[in-house]
Amino acid sequence: MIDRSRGTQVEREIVVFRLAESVYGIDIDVVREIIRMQGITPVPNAPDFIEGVTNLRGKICPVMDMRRRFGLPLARITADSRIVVIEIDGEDVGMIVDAVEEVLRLPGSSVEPPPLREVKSINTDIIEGIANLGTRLIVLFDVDRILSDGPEGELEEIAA
Amino acid sequence: MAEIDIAEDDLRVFLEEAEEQLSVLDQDITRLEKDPHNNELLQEIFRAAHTLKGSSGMLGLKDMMELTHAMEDILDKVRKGQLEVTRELIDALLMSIDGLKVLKEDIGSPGPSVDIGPMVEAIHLAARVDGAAADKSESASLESIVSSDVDLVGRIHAAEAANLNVTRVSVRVAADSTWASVRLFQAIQELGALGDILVTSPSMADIEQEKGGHALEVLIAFGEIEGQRRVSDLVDAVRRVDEIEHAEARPWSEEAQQAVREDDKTAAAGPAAAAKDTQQTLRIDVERLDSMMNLVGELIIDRTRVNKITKDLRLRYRGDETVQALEEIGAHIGKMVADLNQSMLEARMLPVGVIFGKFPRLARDVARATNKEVDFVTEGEDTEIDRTIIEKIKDPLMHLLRNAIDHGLEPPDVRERAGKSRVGSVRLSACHEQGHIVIALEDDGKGIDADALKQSAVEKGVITADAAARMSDAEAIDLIFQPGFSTARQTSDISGRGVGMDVVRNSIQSLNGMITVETEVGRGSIFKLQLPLTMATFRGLLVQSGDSVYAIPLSYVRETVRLEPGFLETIVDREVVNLRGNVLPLFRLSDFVGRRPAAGAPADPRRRTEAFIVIVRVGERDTALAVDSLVDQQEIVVKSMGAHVGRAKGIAGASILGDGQVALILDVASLSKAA
Repeated sequence: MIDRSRGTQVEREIVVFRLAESVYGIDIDVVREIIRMQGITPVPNAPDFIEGVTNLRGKICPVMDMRRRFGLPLARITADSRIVVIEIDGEDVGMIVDAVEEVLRLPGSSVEPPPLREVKSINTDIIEGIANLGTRLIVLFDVDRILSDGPEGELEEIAA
Repeated sequence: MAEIDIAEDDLRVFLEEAEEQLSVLDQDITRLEKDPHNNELLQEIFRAAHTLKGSSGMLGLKDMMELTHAMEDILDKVRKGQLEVTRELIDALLMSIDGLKVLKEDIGSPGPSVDIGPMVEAIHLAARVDGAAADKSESASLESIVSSDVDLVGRIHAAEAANLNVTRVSVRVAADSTWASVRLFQAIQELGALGDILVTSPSMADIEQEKGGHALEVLIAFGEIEGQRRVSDLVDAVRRVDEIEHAEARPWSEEAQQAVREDDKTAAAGPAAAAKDTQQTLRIDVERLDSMMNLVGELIIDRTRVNKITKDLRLRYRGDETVQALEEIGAHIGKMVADLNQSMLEARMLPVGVIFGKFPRLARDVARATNKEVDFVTEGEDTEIDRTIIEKIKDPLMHLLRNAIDHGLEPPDVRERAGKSRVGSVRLSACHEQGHIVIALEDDGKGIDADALKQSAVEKGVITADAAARMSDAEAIDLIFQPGFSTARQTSDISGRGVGMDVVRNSIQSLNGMITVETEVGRGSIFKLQLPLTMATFRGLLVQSGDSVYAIPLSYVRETVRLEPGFLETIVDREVVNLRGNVLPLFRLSDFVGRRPAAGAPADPRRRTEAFIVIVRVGERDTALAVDSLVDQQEIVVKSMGAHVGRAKGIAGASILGDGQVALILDVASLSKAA
């Protein structure tokens, strides 16, 4: 799906969103829809970064608080906050982000490999690369890894 | 297996049918070991191997064809009476089945698959063990004689028409007898005095010329004419002859005759037989059933909403005819939806026998590997249960079965010294009980020793010595469900592979079910699984706690009571409820929920808002759940929360209410344990 070889020349379309001070991007292929914030029912004993579940047109969809997931300081929900619903392993999962900025076509040449050290406390395994657009940097990450390799491996426990 | 060029559709059909044939073969060959002279069983096995040989041959699957051909040959000898069913033979056949399964999996993969050489070798070896007998008797089976002799068939029918019992008598002379032919002759004489002998195999001529070998089959008609003979008289008569090792009589039923006639036709009539089957059953993709089930679930939710709205309208517009009409239609739709739901549930039901069928083989394999002797029996295979549940209990049941044989049953010598039979018995049964299905696995082994368990637990650090001393026997037995706990000194390969009793219990509870143990040292144990009939919907009680609504399956609810301050007491710093003299542990739902305070709202333990308690019963234990208020009783449609949220403890799933709100379904079993 995602070509991880360095210096890929393949052009890709990404959805760009904002979290705290930084800008992130994910492949548009995995994004199912983007919705406004709606009622989220907390689920006790779920992993910390799972905010809860929500009713997505008749289906139950778990929702992650991406600030918690990336270890960023928490903040209040604003009118710009959105839930980006992505598909992982055939199931829908929502991500709460501060704002969705745009959908962008990225020329392959603009993507640099991920740095060796941590980027703002996000585990570099998740990061796939950095898109350098001159005026700004977009951190690209691999959604498949978002739910595996939790910081303390909590998810393996829960899945058991 | 080399890559092959087969049309995808043909391959799919072949794989599905091969899967079935192999499953039949697996079960039947295991049964054959206990019932070696059952001719109908032999026919079925032969037919399955024959069909598999044909279809694998047609697709050019050489290894499969060769292996099934070897099986077919030896099975043919067995059904003709030329070969005895021995343990080696069963082993060889089962090994070949396993080989066929691997070959089937590897179809289309590049590179070689498993080597069939050893399996073919084993089959030939098993045949040669009885080589002596195989050479001597060239006698054909009664079936083939009858099927080729029209006159004989006529005489059989005439006898039946005259109300005589047509019976097949099988006789075997001791292998070391030097007068085999004489003995067989004498046996025939004895039988001749009791009835009318229709045919013998080998023939009288062969016996007189001493070509008879050691085995004999006789078809005899007897009955009222001879004065009320019973089948056992035939056997007794034969046994009066010396050196007769085995004598057995069975009715020559219409079915057996059918089997004869069908036998030669089935190979050619493959498609015809399949066509007949499709008239009665239909293969359907499980996903289609599931999506239909989903739609029905949506209908149920909408029906509930329509009911509510109709009620509101009725209050607002009393006597309005249009509203009345709407009510009638609403009621009718409601009934249709209920019926549709019921039909869908039944469509998803499968008889438990579907998984029970695999267990005799497993029991045999485990018994062999652990040098135990087991008599494994199943009961209630027809009991029906939701197919999703069936899938999920298969592994737990297999683990329990392995445990029962590996750890429960004692070795034959030990059993004998204890005055028990050498052969241990294990029984797997299923039955319906008041809206539940109960599956029980019972063994007559050594039982579970509560004291040994306690000691082992203390050694492993699972509990402290103090806790062990205070523990009741029942609580001690419950220890087997603790993670990482195993009393076996070395986890044997059979039952120790990372599947523990704790996983078993989790699996059962995730199905809203329960598992209990009854055991007596020296006498055995019974593991009982209690499961709901369906996972898709249930009647539930909706309760409110804080901002959220929760659903509790009504099957757990005993009663609901307004919470009076006078009921509350504290015993050893745990809150309890004293209700009419009964003291129950108290669990406040708000404690469970309020793990993460909403931004800006501190959790204040002194501001309690619970006004009601719901008494739930799990197994033998009652617990009081404290909630803010009771909302409603209604049909709850269970929605999957997806694999990613996983099994959050205390939550069994989620549902969407009529107004779109999400209600979490409480896992009552684990909550009551936490209380």
